[in-house]
Amino acid sequence: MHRFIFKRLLMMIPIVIGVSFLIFVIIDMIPGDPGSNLLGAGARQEDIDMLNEELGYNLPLMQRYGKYMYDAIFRLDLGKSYATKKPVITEIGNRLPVSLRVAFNAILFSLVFGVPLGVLSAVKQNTVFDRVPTGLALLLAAQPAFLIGLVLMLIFSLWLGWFPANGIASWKSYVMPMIALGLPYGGRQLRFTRSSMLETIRQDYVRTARAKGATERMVIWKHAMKNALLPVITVAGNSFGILIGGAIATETLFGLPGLGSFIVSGIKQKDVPVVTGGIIVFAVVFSFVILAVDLSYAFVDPRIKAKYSGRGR
Amino acid sequence: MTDKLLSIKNLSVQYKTDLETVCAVNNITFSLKKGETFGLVGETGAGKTTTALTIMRLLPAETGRITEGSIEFTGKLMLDLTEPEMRSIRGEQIAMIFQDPMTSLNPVMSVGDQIAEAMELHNKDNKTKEQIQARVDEVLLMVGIPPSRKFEFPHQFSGGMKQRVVIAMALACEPVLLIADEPTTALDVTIQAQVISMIRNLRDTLGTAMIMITHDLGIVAQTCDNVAVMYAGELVEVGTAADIYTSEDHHPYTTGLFGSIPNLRSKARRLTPITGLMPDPTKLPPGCTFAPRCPKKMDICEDEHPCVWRNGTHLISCHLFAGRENWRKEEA
Amino acid sequence: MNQVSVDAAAPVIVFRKESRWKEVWRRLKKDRLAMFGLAVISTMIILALLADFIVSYEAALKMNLRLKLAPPSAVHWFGCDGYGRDLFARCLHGARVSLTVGFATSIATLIVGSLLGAMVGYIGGKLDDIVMRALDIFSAIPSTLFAMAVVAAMGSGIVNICIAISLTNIPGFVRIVRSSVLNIAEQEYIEASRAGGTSTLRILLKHVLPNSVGTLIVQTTANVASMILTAATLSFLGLGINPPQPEWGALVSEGKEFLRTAPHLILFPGVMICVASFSMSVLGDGLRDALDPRLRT
Repeated sequence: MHRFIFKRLLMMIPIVIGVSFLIFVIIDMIPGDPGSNLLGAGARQEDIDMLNEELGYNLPLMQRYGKYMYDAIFRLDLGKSYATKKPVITEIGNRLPVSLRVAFNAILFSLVFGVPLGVLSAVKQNTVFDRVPTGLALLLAAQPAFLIGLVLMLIFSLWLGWFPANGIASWKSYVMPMIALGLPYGGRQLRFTRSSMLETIRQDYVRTARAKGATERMVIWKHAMKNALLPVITVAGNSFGILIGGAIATETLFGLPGLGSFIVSGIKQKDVPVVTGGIIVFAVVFSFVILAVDLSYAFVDPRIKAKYSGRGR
Repeated sequence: MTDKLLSIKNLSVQYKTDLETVCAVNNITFSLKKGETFGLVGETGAGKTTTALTIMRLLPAETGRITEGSIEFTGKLMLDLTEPEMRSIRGEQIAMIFQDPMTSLNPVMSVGDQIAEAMELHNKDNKTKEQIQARVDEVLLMVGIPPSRKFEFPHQFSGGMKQRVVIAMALACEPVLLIADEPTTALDVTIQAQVISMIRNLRDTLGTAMIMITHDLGIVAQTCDNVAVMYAGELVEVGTAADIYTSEDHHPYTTGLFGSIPNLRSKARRLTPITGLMPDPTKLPPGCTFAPRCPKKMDICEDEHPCVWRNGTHLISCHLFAGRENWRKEEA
Repeated sequence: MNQVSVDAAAPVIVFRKESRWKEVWRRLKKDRLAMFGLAVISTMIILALLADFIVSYEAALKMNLRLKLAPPSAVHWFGCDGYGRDLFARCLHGARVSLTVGFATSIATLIVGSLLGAMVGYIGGKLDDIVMRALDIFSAIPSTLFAMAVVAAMGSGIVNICIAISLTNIPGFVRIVRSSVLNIAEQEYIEASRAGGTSTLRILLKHVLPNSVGTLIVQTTANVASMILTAATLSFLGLGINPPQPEWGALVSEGKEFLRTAPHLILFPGVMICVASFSMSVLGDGLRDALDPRLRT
């Protein structure tokens, strides 16, 4: 088992390198050198050139990338923001937890919302308990998170005043973003749980359980659900990428000081170190999340577990 | 008669969807005594599995309909029982094993747990956990699997072993009736022999009655006391094993079935299959259902559905036996 | 489905094969929700195409500060925005942009992805390895993030976001076609076909394409929905369309400033986004069920 985890971590390294290189190359295309940006318009050309030399601006692309990665990994230095002149890593360090918190809340919400309703709609297929949740899920899954966020803001912030529309004053600030992000994601979870459940119920081993005299409830809870929820985990992980897009918009909308809004303002200001560092960190974290989901799948499904522990056929 | 364990009379079952109605089982009648093994033979699609599911009342709720008939088991009328009453019978008094062992077991539960579940569901005398586990071990040994493997998962067993687990699960509560729906069809031939032999031994030791559903006449010969041949949802011929295998008189379909078996010693250059296909169960032909394919078809066969003719223990539903010596009409 | 008719005179069984597409269409017609989606999105497309005839583009840009934030009225069906511009005109022309991005990127992605997938699957070897590794890397980046990076580097504007969003979705199509090719290539009848002199192109068109066309169609429709959303999200963030060009996401972004006083500014374009995305999703689901009834749940 440990070997499996280790192997997967090892496999991630080329992906991380590839991703970081790709982003680096793309962002590199933004015009502007660090020297002029950091020292400002009024600085002397010699100073600008010296700083550029120091930062390795004149090196060829591959070496610049190498230097960047070296600095990032071993010196935890992602450069200085052109706008604030402060180290990018500090700001990212402050903002990443906020983003993670928002994302995590949303996922939790979506699971609590989507999975039980999905099971219900599968078990009561073609009744009102099925049509209503499914219709709702379809509708919700098609919404962009920022739109739901705006509607929530309108109702709960401006009209009712229950939750703040901006900033992270208290736990209340996290509620609307959680719902805004969680609803569309939850809609997807619902639909997927439903189809997974429906498929599982049709399996032969469910029939065997009934033939043993199990009650319908046992059949659902003990036999069907465990099997049906396995693919739901993987799908939850895979859809995470879609969540990120909505998360960035939600952060911006609700004025949350997260990594997403940081990157957006960085792009608008052509702040190369911020954008490079921000996107790479985001992408790497994302890869780790996917890895974690894959691993959890291995823990939960005995077939996969056996495969990687070396036991079994 | 009072020593009848299971008695099915005039049973008809349909599957009804919005588009069509499938007449899966049409007016069948047969019965079993305690400890008897009854073979139900027929091609795929004849209605054998539907019959088995009907006995267990496991038909799909949305589409399965029992349109007529009765099923009596140990004196109780099954079709009148409530669902909780049926549940207490399933797995404990009547157990069923299904065709495909690869998919019959829950992949995320250990085999030991699955066998134990069968007992936990019917724990009337409140056995303790240890007692149940002891029984699990016992039952695994009976089917030839070392009890140490009870913590393993289905995917860790081969096809034949999986089927043994399924059999162990079925026999755990010592049912009086076991319904085996093509238990060896999905297995290799060599494993088939092992499993059949094991089923026979268990039956002899435990005295379980059995309905053996199969399309393999060889298995029927090895295991069954009485046999019924099913075609298009009807029983065209019923009798003891001797009747079916040694008598001169048969329903043309039965003759066809026997004739279809390849014979190593025969010098024939071609197999003699039965021409044609089984009729569409949504559009059964009037008259005898086998008539379109019957080599001995007469005019009356297309118009009138044959009644059942009896000669001792042998029953055949065919116009050919009307008026034949020793054959009397069987009143419904 | 084959229809069997038994000739009464002689026992000959005649099979009439219904064209596959007619059957798919027949099944699709039964799905009322999918047909609703189809109707809605078709209406939107038609309106978008005829936009210039309904309301001129200038009307969408014309500012009239006296009408600032006007609520919906008989003259201005959707009201006016912060600069007094007619919201209905802006939504209509915005439809053009949003729908173009959605459909154009989907189709471009489909074509490029399929060609690449076919090539890679067929040629195999080193090329296959390299491309698959590259795809793994692309898949590891969330699509919105990647689109943001591309926009950052290349600037905003309708063409750039089309390219950005396409790039993130190409791996999906490459995989579908590639696996289809690999599946087919292993079959022996390909060997026979090739031995008989059939060219590669013909093999791809005749064998590979029909096999994967179903999945491709479903994936493409799903992509249209998600691309409309991604484009809207990007525009909402200010990284998409260049103002004053209208696009639904951008309209929502403009409108959010006046959320308290004039909520209609976000509602109308917002509803447009929802309806378009929902219609395509529902249509995509319907197509998926119609193409393979076994998947129907």
